Amino acid sequence: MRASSKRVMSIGIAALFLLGAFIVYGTLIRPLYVEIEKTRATLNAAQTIFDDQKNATEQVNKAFLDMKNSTKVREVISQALPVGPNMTQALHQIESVIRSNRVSIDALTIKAIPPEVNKQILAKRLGKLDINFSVSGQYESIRDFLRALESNVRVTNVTNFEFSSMSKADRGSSSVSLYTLQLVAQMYYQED
Amino acid sequence: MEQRDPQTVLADQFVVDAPSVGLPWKLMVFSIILFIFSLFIFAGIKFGYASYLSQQQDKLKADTVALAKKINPDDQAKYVNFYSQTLNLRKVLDRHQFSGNLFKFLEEKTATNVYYTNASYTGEGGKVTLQGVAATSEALVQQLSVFDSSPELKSAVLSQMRFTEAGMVSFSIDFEFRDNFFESPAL
Repeated sequence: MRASSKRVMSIGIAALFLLGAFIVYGTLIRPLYVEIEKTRATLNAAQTIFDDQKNATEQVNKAFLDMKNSTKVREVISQALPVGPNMTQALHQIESVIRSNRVSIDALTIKAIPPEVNKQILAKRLGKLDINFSVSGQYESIRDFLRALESNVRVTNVTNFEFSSMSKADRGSSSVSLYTLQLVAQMYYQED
Repeated sequence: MEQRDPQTVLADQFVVDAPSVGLPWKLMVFSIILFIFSLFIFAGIKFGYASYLSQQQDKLKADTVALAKKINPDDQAKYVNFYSQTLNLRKVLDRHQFSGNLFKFLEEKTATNVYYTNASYTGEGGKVTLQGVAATSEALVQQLSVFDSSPELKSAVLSQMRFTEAGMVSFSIDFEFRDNFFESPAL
């Protein structure tokens, strides 16, 4: 073979391989690299989320542990704001306050109000018990009854009341002024 | 200096170089290496790096699933309850009022020749309407001046006043208490 033919052939083969290299780069490496870049970005984002979640999980588990250790606090909170309307407990507490303050109850109605809309994420909704009742007794008894009701272990909020003198009752040789207290109160509960 | 044969010198001057294929040959070898290298890169990315990334993704997914299992669903439910109770209790205590403070206020601020027959309290706005009887109009005026100088009150307005047959004065006063008056229990 003549030298010039060899030269032309060498150049031709070199050109073919160069073209091949460009084709491999353009059609295989480059699209694959773009794909790899996307995968890496996804992986990085997922890794960041995972790290955050891992951190959050550790915090949550720590919070669980703290919560488990604070049994008394949980009990107090559950008494102040029970889960579910728990009307029986509400009535029992009112009855205890009435008895311990020597007033007599004249009438009582109790009604559960559906929970209000909650803006807090995750938090369960807050429900109310509307309690209308009327008690009568001596001034000091009614005053102490109202104070005791408002500092009751289950949070009780008096929204309205009307306090009026009723009559004078004969008690042996002396007459005692009696008063009546009509009140609207709210007790609270958390939806189950 | 060495003397060369003139014929040799002449032959040297007219000698023709043998045709060289060195440069195209090197170019061909270079292009073949480049081609093989590109294939090698492709194979490395495809079967090495991409595969590694894929494994990493699978591992991360498995770790995430394992992480979710680290939180006990029972504990989670209890915690949500506890969190909600704390949050709701705070809300409830923020709006809690001690209307019984009214009694202490009246016990401290009422003159001896004045008594009350009726009191109505409205939690919203801390408003109280008080009805009572004063022995004389002077006693009522004295009582009103005591209310006017009370720091607990925003306002005390005499809304009604009437002389009774017994010569006494019945009255009605509308109170508006300061915002913080019912916030904490009076000692």
